[in-house]
Amino acid sequence: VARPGIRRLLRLRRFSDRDAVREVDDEVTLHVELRTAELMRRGLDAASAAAQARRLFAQDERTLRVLYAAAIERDQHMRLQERIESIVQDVRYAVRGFVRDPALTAFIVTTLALGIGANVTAWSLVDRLLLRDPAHVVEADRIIRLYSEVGMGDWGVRVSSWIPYSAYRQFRELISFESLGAYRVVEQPIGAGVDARRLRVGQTLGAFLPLLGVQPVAGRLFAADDDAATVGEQAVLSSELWQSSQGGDAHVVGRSIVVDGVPHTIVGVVPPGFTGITPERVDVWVLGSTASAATMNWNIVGRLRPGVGAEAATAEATAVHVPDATGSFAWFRDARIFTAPLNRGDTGREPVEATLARWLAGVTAIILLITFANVVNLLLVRVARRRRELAIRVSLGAGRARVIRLIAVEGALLAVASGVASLLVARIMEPAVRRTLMADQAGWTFTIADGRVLGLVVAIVLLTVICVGTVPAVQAGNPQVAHALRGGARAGSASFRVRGTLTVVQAALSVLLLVGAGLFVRSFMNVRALDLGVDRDRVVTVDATLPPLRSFGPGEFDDFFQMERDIYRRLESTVQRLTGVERAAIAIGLPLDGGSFSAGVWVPGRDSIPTLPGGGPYVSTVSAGYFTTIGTAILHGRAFSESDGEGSEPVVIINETMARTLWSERAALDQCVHIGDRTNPCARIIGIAADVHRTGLRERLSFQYYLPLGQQRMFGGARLVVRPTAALPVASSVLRQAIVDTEPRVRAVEIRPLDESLSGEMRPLRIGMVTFGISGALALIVAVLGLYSLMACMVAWRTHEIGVRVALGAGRDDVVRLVLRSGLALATAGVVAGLGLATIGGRWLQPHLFDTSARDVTVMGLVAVVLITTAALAGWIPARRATRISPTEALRAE
Amino acid sequence: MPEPMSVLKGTLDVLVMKALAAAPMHGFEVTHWLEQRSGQRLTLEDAAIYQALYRLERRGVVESAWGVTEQGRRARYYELTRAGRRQLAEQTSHWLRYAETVTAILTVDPRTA
Repeated sequence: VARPGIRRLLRLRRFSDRDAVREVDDEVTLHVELRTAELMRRGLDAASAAAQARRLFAQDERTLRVLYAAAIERDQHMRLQERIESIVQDVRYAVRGFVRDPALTAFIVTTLALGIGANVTAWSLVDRLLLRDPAHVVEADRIIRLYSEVGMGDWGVRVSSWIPYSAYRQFRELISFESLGAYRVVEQPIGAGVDARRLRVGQTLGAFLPLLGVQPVAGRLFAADDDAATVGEQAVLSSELWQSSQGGDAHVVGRSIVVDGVPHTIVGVVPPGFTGITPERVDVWVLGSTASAATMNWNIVGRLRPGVGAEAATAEATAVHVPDATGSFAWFRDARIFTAPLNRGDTGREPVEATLARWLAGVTAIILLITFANVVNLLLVRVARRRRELAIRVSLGAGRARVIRLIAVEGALLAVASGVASLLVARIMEPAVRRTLMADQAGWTFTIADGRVLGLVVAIVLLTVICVGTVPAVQAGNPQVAHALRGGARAGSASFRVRGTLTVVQAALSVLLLVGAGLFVRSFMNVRALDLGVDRDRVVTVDATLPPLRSFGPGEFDDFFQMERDIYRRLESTVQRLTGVERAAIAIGLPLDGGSFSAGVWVPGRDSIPTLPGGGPYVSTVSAGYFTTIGTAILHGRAFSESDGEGSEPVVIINETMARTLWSERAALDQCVHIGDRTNPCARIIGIAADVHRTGLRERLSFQYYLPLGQQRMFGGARLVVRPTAALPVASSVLRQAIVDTEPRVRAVEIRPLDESLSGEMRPLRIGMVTFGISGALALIVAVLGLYSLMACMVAWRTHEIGVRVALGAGRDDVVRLVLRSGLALATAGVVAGLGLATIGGRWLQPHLFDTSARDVTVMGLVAVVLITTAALAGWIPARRATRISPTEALRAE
Repeated sequence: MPEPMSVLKGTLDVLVMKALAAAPMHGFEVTHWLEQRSGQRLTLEDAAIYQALYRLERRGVVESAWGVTEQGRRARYYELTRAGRRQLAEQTSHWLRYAETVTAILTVDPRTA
């Protein structure tokens, strides 16, 4: 008895609908015959019995057709069920196989999960930064920003989003825009007393918030053209500030919040993650007032009318731009106006985070390649181990398609398992990536579990299935069955070629990543070794915010600066006495953050002094203890003393570059310079200080000089520089309390490490180091493991050959050399290819490196040595094993 | 000859299952068995038996295989599966309870109700 199912399983013949019909016919024929026989036994003649039998079976043709249809449906259903059962069988078989080999399985899944997880994270970030609109902004493609471009002579052009208020008034008339608004973000003290902090305040004009389309989560937003002068001071909180300052209280609307010393009425709350149009955090939005707006520059944002393009808007803006700017806005007269979409930053260019995200995505894509190469490699190991078993299955009639399907099912299982695991990995990586990659003040978040990212995972998993499933499947589908059966596991030099190539690719990609890591480490070391002229990591700056100057009448600046000086002198003496503080001083114009002022200097006997590439001359005003506090060396002469100040002899300390250029270093001492104006009295040079970096890591030479506090004119913006002995958090709270207790007029206290302003420049280096370092190490491990497993298999495969060689008199060293040579050949090929790639790819890295060539020979050499050494180690173990092959056993095993 | 009765909708399947519970049979044997047990009272086309068999096989209640009859003729034999036996038991008890209820109602004397 051969059941139809079994008959199909044995592939005797392909079963079709026609067969189903024929089988029904057979059954019906038999039935009618048996019925006829029965009727004849009851006495009917043959002809009428046959007719009666047919009538009893079915009244008409239609019944028969219904019967056919039922049989066809039954067979189709059963064929489907068989297919499902056989797939279930494959799945069960594959799972059993994986369970039997848990280490290999775990290694494959982990590798894939890391590779895919890293990619999901990186691409989520890219999606957020490059592809998606700012959070909560509606139809962002119709919103554009206006920029100005101003020629700076020899300095090139300056592109900025700053536009004076007068121009904003003109642009409001533009018909290209449905609505227009402006904003500026400033740091201002929020709250009062010890808890007051400088936070980021977004001041808005016109229809800024309404035109973005953001919907409040509580209360309302500002209406278009609300003005603080008419509707009163109003504030809209960010969700984050709402939570931290009001505990997320639903009845927040109508309460008051102090912004820069002025109570504002809270009218609403924006949704979490809303930061306007740039990624930087904004803590509170306030209404600007037309009264004070006129003295400021603004960022202008507009929503285009439907059907109007950005070019038309630019043209119209250029046309209405009447160059009537005056006073401090005179620079805007010659400005060229242009527009750009919202994903450009304040400079009209792509934000640095976007560039970094792109890199991260590139690096993780390489990781994914290596991962795939490695997993395919490992699966080939599995296939090689099972070659004999697969050959038996094929010879028993399982069919090549069935074997390929089995291996594809294994690949799919692996991919699903790793897909799930990778989402977990991405979950864990997301906060870390956000912390490293996005600026500290970033308000944007990105989530892993959103629809597009899930789509991405599905796509990657499918790609994995195709890559991981097909290569081994094709290999397995190509067994020279008879040969495999006869020769055991000795088939497959083709497999070694494929695996060798994969190993070379892996090695090359690891070299590429390691060279990147090395270049960033080198840059980082160069930065650490850089002498900035100050003790960058031992000093903090303290900014005690005072009530601002409200009007700008004659003499009021002087009064204000006098008040600031007095307050800071009191703070300085309080802070100097604190335990936990080693030294403290006052400075107006700090190094590293570009905060010093430019002010003219005249030297008797010279018409003018040369302008150096770094600009200037720049002046800082400092108290007596400044140089020892901040750690700037006085090379010649002396530092300021307590007796230098208001009313005493005018004195000045100049920097080394200035002394060397204008005199000849030492000779500068006791020379006379006129500061600020040719007719001002002589200031005597009493000291020469080391050059310091004014703006950051990359510094061009400039003239710098220092005045004692009290002898400056018209400079404000004092800070304390403090050298604490305690750790920053402890020192901060001590300082904050002491300052607020000493001076009630202080509105907020901001304490920062001196080198914090370098973090922007350090960030790309740190990110480069971290991303390339971690991925390079990962890649190296993976490549070395791949090489090891390849060599181990090679030794197993060549046991016979090695046995023969030993029998013919080859020594231990010959055997080691034989094995090592092939491993090192692969590694060397990888190194050469990798260094080639690194040389080509270096030009994209070059702008981000610091004092390091992207073709740094030391780094490349070191990476080559590391790779070859680890490859030698990876080859050593199989080579040792090969030396233990005894010729008799090797030959007997045949 | 007794008066013919048409088969109630849905009961044919359970009757066919009952026939196969006795032994594996081919289509004509099933027809013959039912005719014997019903005393020729059920009227239906023979084709309906086959439709029921195909339906049951599709549902996994019976399975079939080609075999040879005692007379040496090739025939398709049907057999109850384990699931089929379980279903037969369930449906039999269901039918009995149903019939009992209907009988009880129909046999009530309207005057005493």
